[in-house]
Amino acid sequence: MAAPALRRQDLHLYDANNDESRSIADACDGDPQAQSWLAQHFSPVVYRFALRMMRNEQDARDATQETMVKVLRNLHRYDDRWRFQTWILSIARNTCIDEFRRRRHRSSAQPPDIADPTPGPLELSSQRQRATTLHVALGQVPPLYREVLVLYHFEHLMYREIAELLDIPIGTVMNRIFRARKKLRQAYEGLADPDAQREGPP
Amino acid sequence: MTWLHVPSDLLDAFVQGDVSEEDAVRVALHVDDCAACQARAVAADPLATTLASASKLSLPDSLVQGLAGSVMADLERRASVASPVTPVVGIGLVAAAALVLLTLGDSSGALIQLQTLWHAALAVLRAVDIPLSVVAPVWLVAAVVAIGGASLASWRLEQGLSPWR
Repeated sequence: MAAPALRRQDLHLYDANNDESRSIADACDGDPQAQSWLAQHFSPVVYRFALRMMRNEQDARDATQETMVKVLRNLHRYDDRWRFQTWILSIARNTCIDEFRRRRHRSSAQPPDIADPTPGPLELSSQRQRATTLHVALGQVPPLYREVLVLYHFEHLMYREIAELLDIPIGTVMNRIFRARKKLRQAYEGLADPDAQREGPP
Repeated sequence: MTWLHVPSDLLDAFVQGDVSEEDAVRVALHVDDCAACQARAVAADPLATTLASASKLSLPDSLVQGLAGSVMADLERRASVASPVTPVVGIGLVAAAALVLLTLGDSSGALIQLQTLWHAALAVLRAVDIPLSVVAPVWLVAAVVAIGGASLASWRLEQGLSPWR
């Protein structure tokens, strides 16, 4: 009882000259080349999101694989009034949440975050150093708040897209973002404090 | 009060999270559509500026190829596994459910057994990546038949009759 496959005429914004639009339609028809194109094009998007949420490369890789397989197997469900990337991120988010639940189930005493992007060469530019501190600070923000920050500031989703993705009113999104920024700022200042004299505020 | 662009004091308050929910929504919806105000909001918030500069996480090409490759391999594997397995798994699980319920012949334990089986079935579905909604109607009918059959059988057992006829 498979759902009927999405057809080209169902895509409101179908555009034959647009790689993304064409690949989605072709992949729906089962074209492996189009599926491969989507996998190449959107795996990095999902990986970046998953890495920021999971804070661990292996987990991010697993989440990416699971998400992209779900995406490619459920293309017929895609409603193109959403941006394709937003739809994919909503699936990535659910995958990450499942993983968080599984982890909490396994051990409630597990440290929340393990790996962070490596600082790289010793001589970091101050901007680079701030970015690294920020990544560490982001890891200290609880996932509920981290996700809105990642979606807005890193994935550049609109506020209303986040509301749609999380299925909550936009007022709730705003409250959550404000609280998230406050938490991030506190975490960031806590980390940056020893260097505050030398670095100064960004 | 209407404005073409978000007034500076309101934008500053917005960035600090120091606005009413009503104003926050109003500004957010405007910022969503107005690149100029969006840029101003980023500029007004040092943290957002740093976030913007930190947002570019470039991935090595080998990693991207590896990710896409494993996605395609996984997709192929699941496509070859899922199709013949689906009906077999479904029928097998329902038969197992009925059998366990009949063997136990215990209507109080039956629900717990059924719940365990339901979870097992969900785990199997997840493993072969079949969306629940696709098979939900089949499961519903199967569950009703299994519960009905089991209740009937346990009632017959209580009456000292054979559960079968």
